[in-house]
Amino acid sequence: MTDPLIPEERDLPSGRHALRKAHLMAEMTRPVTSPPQEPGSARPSRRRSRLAGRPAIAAAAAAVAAVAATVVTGQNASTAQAAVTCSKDHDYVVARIMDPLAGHERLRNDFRACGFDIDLKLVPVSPSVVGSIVMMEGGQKIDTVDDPSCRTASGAQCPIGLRIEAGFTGKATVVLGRAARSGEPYASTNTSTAKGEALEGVSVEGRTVAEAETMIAQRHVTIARYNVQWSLPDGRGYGDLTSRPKIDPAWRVTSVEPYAPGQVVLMIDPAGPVPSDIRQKIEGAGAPPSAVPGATATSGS
Amino acid sequence: MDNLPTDAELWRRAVDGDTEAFGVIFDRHARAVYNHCFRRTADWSEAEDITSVVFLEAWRRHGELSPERDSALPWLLGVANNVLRNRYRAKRSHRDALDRMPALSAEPDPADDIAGRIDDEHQMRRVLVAVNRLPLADQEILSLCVWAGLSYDDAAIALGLSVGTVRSRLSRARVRLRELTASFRGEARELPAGTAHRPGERHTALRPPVEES
Repeated sequence: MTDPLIPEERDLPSGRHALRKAHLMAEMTRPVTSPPQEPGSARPSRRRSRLAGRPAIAAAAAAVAAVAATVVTGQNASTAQAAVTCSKDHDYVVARIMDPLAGHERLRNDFRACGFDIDLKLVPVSPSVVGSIVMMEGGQKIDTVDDPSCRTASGAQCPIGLRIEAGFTGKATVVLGRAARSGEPYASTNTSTAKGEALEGVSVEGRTVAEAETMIAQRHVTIARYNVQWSLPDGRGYGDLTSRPKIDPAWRVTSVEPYAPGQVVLMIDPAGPVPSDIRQKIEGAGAPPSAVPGATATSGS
Repeated sequence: MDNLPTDAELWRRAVDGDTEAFGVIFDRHARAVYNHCFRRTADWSEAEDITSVVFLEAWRRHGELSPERDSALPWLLGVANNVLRNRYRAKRSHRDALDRMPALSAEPDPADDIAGRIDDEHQMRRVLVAVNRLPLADQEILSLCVWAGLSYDDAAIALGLSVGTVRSRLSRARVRLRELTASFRGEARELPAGTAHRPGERHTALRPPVEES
């Protein structure tokens, strides 16, 4: 900027670049029903808010917007209402996901409408994982389309669609993270203290349970579960979901994992002897896998 | 950089039906268009909507353009100027398309520096108090050459003028602005809310999910 009186340039707000781009591309490929109104021409006063009737998607504004907005264009049934729409890019077809909350069947049908047998599943994930591909198999000819303005908390790209070789006839499964609904447990998570997560920047490792509870409450986050990680001297262990009254507030927290929007699981390193019921559960599970192939716990005889 | 297609190449591909190519042009220039629109409106939210309209309008007119240079930015800023001149009518023209915009997030992202954006708007409104007293042609040439940093050649493309005319108009605009700010000194105030926007069109950079009237 050459004029010091003028504010510094800024990017579009988080996720909006991808959203606006997806919208633009949807409009580009939208079947023309009527040309844009020329300035000044009369038209009916239908005015619907762009926000009306759309579910608010909580959490991870940037990544959600990137995914939610991302897809529209259609090789066959190309409408703004499509959950998946496709456009051509030379020898590839770019499939974009318009509605990450669409049902499994609808997503699959929309892929079929684009000519592909792709089983796309969207699973609820914690905010910083939204938009990431959680799992993909069977699709070497499938690549992701990433939002250039987005990085996940771990620095990974944020996929906003798939780039598929034209003529791909194989079967593929792609599991993509989407924002969770209120109260919906996550299927995949980052650590709770990662960027974009409920406890971003909060340092809880090594704190006592009591201290961690206070810090978490200050963020208006609730503790859904206490996972107490007991272990025996031989390394065998057991994570027990324990009710709060049985937790010693002085035990130490090892990590906090996202559970659902606004809820976390406290992972706890307990002190004192292993309770007998826990010991039975550990011993009932059998010997731990040996570190050396072929070796056994009683080797030497 | 190795073998990145120029805007001219992308534009040709887009005209041939390669929508992804137009998406790359958006990736390259949306930020510049967005900031240009902000500097003319002092409103980040309005600038965001106008940026969409600029690209929608650019696409609608894509057949008319054959980028003379490698960068499509001068032409896009020219489209932006046209839209800004008639922004209410332009937005009305693309109303249906804007209505199909997916929902914007209800939750502002702390990374978006909402407070900083509000400060920007106050600052820019103070600047526009003076600049908006200039003739529109002077405003446009200042915003392109001084604020957006376009060269004379690129500004000439954006404005559809000769380079010589750009030079002389810019010089004249600078003098006028200097005179204005001198006469203005001591009384410069921020525009009262509503002056820079139509009633009901003022909103924060990140909108809550409410109905617009």
